[in-house]
Amino acid sequence: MSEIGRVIGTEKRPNTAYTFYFWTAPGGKVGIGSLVKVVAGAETVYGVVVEAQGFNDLESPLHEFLSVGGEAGKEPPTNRPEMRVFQAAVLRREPEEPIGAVPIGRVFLADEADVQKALRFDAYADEHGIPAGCYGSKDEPVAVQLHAQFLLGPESGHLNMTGTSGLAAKTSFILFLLKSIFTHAKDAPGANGAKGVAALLFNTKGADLLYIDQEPQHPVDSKLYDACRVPATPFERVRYFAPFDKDGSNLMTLRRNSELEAINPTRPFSFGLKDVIKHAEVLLNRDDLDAKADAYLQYLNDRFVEGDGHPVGDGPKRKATSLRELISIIQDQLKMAEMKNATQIESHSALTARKMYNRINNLGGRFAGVIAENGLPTGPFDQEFEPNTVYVVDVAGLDSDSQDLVFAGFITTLRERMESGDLGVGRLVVMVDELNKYAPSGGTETYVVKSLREIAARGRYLGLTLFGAQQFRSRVDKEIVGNAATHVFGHVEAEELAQPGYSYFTPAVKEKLGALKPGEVLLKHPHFAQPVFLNFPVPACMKGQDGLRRYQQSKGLTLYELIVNEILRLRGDVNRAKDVLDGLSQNPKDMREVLRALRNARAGDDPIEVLRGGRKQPMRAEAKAVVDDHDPFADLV
Amino acid sequence: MTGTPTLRQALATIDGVRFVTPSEREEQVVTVSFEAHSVEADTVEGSEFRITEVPALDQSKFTHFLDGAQRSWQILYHRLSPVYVAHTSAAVLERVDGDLLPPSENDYRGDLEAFVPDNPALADALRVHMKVVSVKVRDTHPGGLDEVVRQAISDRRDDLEKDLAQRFSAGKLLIDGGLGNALRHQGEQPFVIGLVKSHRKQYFRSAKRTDMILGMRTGQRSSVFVRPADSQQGESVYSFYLRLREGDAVGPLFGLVRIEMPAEPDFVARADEIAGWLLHERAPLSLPDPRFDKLLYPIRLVEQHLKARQPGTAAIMGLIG
Repeated sequence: MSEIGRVIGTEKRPNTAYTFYFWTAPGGKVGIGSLVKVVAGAETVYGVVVEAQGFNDLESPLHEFLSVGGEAGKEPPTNRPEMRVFQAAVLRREPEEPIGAVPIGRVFLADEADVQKALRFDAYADEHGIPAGCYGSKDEPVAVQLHAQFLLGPESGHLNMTGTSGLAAKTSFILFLLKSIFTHAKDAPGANGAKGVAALLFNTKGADLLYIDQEPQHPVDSKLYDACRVPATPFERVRYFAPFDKDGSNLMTLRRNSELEAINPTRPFSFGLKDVIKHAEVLLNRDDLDAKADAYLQYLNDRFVEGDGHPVGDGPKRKATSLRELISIIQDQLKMAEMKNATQIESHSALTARKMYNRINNLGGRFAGVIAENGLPTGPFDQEFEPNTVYVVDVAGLDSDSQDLVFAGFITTLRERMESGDLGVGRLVVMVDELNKYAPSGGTETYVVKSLREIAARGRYLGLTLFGAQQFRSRVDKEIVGNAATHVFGHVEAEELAQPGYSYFTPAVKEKLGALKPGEVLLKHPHFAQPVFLNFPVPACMKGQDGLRRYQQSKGLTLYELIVNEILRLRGDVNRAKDVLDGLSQNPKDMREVLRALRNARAGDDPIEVLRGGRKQPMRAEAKAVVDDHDPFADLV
Repeated sequence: MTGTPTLRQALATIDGVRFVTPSEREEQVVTVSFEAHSVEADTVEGSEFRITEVPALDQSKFTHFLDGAQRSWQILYHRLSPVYVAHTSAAVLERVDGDLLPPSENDYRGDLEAFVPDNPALADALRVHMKVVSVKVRDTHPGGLDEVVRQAISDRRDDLEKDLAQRFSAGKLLIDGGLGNALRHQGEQPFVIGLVKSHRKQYFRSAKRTDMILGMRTGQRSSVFVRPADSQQGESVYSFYLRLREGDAVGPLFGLVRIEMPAEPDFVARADEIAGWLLHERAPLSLPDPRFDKLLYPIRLVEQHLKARQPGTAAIMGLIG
């Protein structure tokens, strides 16, 4: 234990119950964020340094100028004594009561045992500890543990992270923390139902999350991993999902590479007709979806989508399973109304129906690749989530509207699954980046905002934990930020730090936040009385840029090639499969259905059987020679 | 409640004791006057008294610095006799690589004591709680009595300084004040120099010499002369005047100091060198101390160190209760 100074209390700056001052000699290994211990008799107080001041006996700069006659190079024979005074915020005291002013005592740098006590994780490290990074120098790191029940729930939950984009903070920290959670999180003894933790991440930009199951190509700080007892290895179980490309068969992802597909293929995700109706608020312009339009949409849903079917006019019952079919139904209703010169379609205005037809009709084009042609949804929700698995949904290639649809769809489905208790795992961590875009403060209360608020408020009781991230915390819905129990800050820009939300940080802490390097964060957790600065290692998986170089994106394949690739993935007999395939309808729509079925097949399924479920080649009419007796030149003879 | 009784409790049974709110006496500030009291000192350097330029040096070889400090509070009267509590101290600080190091235990003397004019009963009652210095009184006039006690406090500080100076052995020591009492009576004299900031005695009756001294420019010194022994200043030593600084619109004594050296021929030969060291010690300035024109910075640091170890008025009030 190294002694570094003594507590001082002056009349002008007395120590209080929560703040104290101490001096150290220059050169002491203490700075902003250092943890210290004050010992005074039977009392011990732990604190974190939040402000630093240094001074000598100079009263005015002019005195120093006069001392050397204005000659900067002049070296006086006696140095002015210099001292450092630090302000520290109290983290913990022993005994806990009474809470009096911090005593005048000797000050020591905290060692490993002190760090555990100061941050109170000595009481829960073994049972509930989740290392989130390390305190101290990188040579002697001390793992700092979060309380699993306060990070993932149910005691409190959710994490919110702020950081400037591109400075190795948000994604890197969350990936490391997820790895730590997968390594250390334990189910509560006697817990009923699903167990384990899974994570759902949205890849919104570039290729950040697309190679997290691949070995890193950068050096990994094994000391930090060792200190946290987390294996410095990539994620073992990752499932990737991406929307269809415009062609409806290839996937819109930077992971499109045959080598990578052979290792861990990307699965498609798409929204079905029911999802489209459910998320109409996101898909349609808010002004379009007035009360009348909403009523008509509900009517379509009740009669033609959810129900057993409904006739159009005097025709037979019809049921829509895809968007195309629904559009056709609306079209027929409008034709029928025109023919009858009617202004109403079953009590709904024909004009409203016309407007909805126009809006819905262009959804297929606007959200191509995201809305399933056949109306059947596919994606990570097809199966229950599995423990220790990361589900990456790649939406980087989608436009902003499509991304909104994906978020709305996923968040809503998660909320429903959460409420019905069939997530499949004890806890699902869902990471949403760019919260200031999806849940802006003071913005309109969109469907996404409502869902995120719901998860933030109730998710921890139901197994859903939100890891939200953003560049500008001040611009995120306060309810969503406020419900997060753990807050993490990477490098934050000065103008963001000037916002009122950061006023509880001292100027020195703010300065440090503005200068944090990659791999450094400030972390606030319910068990820590004050935020602490931590180091965390660069994730031990391939970075996006390295992945893009290593696995270059290939051009889109033909439907036939994609099907053959799926047969290879399923270890089927390609020649036999080709024979079966040749006997199937070559219509692109039918081929895409076959591809979809193969993509949904699991390892061990027989691809030939899957293929046989495809639509057969239609019977060809017998070829007949056409003999025309008419001779166009007969008149000329 | 148990614990150490306060002075008020301890002296409760003694008649005539009247506690007063502790009033602090500041340390005597230097008197800047060329007093009428004068002698005619003998010059020991050269054939005639003169003023010379000190060759510039870019270093100082002083390694140690000594100063004393005192802080006193009048705490009570016994009838008309004032009783003081005073903290007197002295320290030698060593300079290593430009840094003045805190003193070792051997290089610091300091104590809080009660100074009681002749009053054995009161002294005995106080002695149970703190160290007591009995002050011999010859004058019973109230004003004079106060002066006597304060002089006793100053003498106590001088004794501490003298004790440390006489123990000094290795290095080159600069003392704040006269040297006479600091010299050893026997054995080899260490290298000790005294810097006197006050000019209470005029060493030359001659108006010409006085004008020469007062007319010195920055970096000039006088010839070395003999400062004769006396009861106040102790042994006879060699001395010279040195102008550390000068300025516009300041008195004739601004920046003028008198240097004392052991009365040995070698020191006469080294007068220029020693003056050069002292001139080099002018930086850093001792501002904001009002004595900055004469107070060398390392001496100021010793003073600061001693003051930092003095008790505050609040502590004295706690002692009284």
